[in-house]
Amino acid sequence: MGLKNPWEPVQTVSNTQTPRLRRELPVKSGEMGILTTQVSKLIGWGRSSSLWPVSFGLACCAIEMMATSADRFDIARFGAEVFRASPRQSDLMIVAGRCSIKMAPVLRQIYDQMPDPKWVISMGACASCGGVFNNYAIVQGVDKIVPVDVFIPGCPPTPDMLLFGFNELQRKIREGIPNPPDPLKASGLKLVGPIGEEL
Amino acid sequence: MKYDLATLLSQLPRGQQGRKADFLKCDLATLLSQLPRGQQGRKAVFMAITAASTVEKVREKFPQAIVETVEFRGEQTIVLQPEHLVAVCAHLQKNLQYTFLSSITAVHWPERLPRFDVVYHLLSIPNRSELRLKLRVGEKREEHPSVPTVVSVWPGANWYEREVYDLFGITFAGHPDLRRILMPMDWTTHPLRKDYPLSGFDLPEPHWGGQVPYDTDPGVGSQTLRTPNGRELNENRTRFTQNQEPGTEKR
Amino acid sequence: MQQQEIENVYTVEDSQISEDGQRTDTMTINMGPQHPSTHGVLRLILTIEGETVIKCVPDIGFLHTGIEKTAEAKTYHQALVLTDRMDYLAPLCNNLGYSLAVEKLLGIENEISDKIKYVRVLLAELQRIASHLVWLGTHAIDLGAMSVFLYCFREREMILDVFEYVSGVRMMTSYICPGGLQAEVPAGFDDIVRKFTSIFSDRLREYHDLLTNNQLWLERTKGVGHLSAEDALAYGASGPVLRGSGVVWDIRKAFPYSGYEKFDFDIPVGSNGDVYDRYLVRMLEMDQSLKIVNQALEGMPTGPYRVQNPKVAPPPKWQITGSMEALIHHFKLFTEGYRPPVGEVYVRTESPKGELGFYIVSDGSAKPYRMHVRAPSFANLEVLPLMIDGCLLADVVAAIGSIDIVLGEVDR
Repeated sequence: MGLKNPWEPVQTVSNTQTPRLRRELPVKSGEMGILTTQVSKLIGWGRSSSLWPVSFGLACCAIEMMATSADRFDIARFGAEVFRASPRQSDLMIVAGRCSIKMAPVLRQIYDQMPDPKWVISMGACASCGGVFNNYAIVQGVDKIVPVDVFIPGCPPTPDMLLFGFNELQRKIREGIPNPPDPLKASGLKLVGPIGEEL
Repeated sequence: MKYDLATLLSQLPRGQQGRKADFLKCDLATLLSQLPRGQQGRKAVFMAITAASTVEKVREKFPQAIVETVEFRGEQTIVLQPEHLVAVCAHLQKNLQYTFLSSITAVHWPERLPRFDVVYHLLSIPNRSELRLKLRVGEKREEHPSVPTVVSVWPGANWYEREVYDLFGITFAGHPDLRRILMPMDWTTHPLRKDYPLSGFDLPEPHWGGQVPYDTDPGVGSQTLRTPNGRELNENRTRFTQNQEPGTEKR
Repeated sequence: MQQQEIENVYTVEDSQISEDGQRTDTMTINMGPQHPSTHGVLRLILTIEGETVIKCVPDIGFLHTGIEKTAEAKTYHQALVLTDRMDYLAPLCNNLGYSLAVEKLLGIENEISDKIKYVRVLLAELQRIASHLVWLGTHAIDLGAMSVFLYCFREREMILDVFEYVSGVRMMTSYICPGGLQAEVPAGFDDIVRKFTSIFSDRLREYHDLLTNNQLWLERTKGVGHLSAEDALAYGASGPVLRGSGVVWDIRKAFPYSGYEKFDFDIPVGSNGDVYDRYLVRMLEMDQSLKIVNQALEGMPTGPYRVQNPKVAPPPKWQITGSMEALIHHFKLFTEGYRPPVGEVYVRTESPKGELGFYIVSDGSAKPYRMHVRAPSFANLEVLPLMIDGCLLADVVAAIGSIDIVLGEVDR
């Protein structure tokens, strides 16, 4: 299945912690020095300050996500003004809640429908690693299906924890840190689901 | 404007105001007044229907259907023969006002014959009494025991029976639409059986397209915790996986 | 895959021309698991003719977590944590139902002191208000009233502050456990609850002002999603869905548990079974819950927060250093857990969604042999096709909101 050690997660190095700064990244050829740096800083600022999430609330974490968008912990002040219903109009997917195996193909389909550039926050313990539920029905971490940029622990994470994770993602975007590799491309598998069945 | 019960009630159209009492009381008088006109003369009889008296009435009317009756912590359970289930349920629903089916579920006893218990919880709203019916099925160790359906008695049984079929594999004869409800549609096994490991099987479920894109937890250690009778307390996956789920052909 | 997606999203079937030259097609569309108005991961396969819904087939299971199977591998105290996550809008009510069932199984119902009962009732009613606030906020925002969402969550934050004060966690508290409460109610609890109750009736009036006599609201909810009382009873619908259709039934009055018989409250019952009646029932229920909270706060007795039976509830931690029996009981309770006698119980409670029942089968060991949860939203969702038969597509959203489903409960 492409994995040597079953205890190793698909994504071995967290890339929110390393690298911290853009200058630690290898410089790609063709970059023109200071002009591109300023432009990419502008682009980074623009992208991070107006992240629009697609509403992908699955379970209990969705309620805390709704509380984050309510008036006490307002996520709109950080730029997430609207939670778009359609993935085609959003650039952030906050996977809030436990992803069951029946839902996994749907998750992947929504992720595929989002246009580039896109980021994924995995909110809560169940989305990050299966959480309380180590059983047949729950995917043990959505990073096995979509590439996740920021993991937020908690069951459910309080709204201020979600805001901290959101800010970490914004920092990551501003620094220009790239997305992690796509787990399904690496193993070459396709998620086939009965989502298209008619009744 | 005051928003309390009285004000809102006064806004009801004329014809509905006669039901004011409903808003305020949920006591025996109100409940009895909900009986249709002709039945109200039988008030005294209805007062006497309790769970214990129900058991007696069922025993009188269907003596051959009852296997045993149990009383534990104030709850009455009647264990029935599967053939007589629909007749007893129809009698309970029509004559004894057990119009509310709370739930249908099942329990798997792998070391006992018959293998499964199908459990029905009933509730009688006018009489405020509850009852449990049980069937013991699976004597011949069959893979999918069959039970007659009660959808004709309580239409709400539809989804409960589908859930029992999905999670336990017990089929319901006469069910209009018996298919999986919680697991993916082409799942082949029944997860809540005791011989299905908690963490699931290693490999092929058809809806993953033949492989899983991740590796499942191999389990911790080899020590098994057992009850005094030798039953294992934790699911031990290594006992079941030969990378193949039982009953399926090798892929 | 893109082409296949589009094909599978809708199919145009049965294209016919009727007598007056009108084209009558039915279209099967998918109101998919990811949708802003389905209140979770619910998939509805709707067959519509124009805008009218002809057939509706709900497809559930997208949040199936195997909680019942997981509970068989945990001890009774550990399984409590799993019950929080089923109806995640009212976790304390789930905990209460589970605790009552385990206490009935153990036979220690008479040892629960009045203080425990009062605190349980107070927290359960606060939780009911919180759950109804989320319902109101999401229902209103689905039908277009966005400010109600913000107001409801503002009040809900105050209730979550109470839960955080008492247990340290906003949701998923697991504070009500078999044997009593997890920890002593801290001092200052009265003040923080009064901070909420003093302002809430004014806020309720605000919500009524915004919605109850609002012409837009009435047009969208009156006459929509009708459910008759016979259908509701036949399908096992319970809670505000059943009461909105005119059946007078509330488990807190019919089978009183945890001291509810001592409290004085009314039960609102609707007359037509439409969305507006269910809305009114829940609004009035919030008012009644506030009444119960005030009564519980006034009459709160003193007493232990935990049953004094060391076989069930661990003795206070400070006794471990002094008493050998306390140490042994602690050890046994946390490694093995208490072992109820062989038997089974079914305990029903009135959760904000309806009749929540816990069926626990014990085989004498420290782990439940089978824990089945009778989820109210499961049966309430079964009546959805009846409710929206012949309604417009926009009414489907109103009807789903009015049933107040929680998919965590439906799928478990």
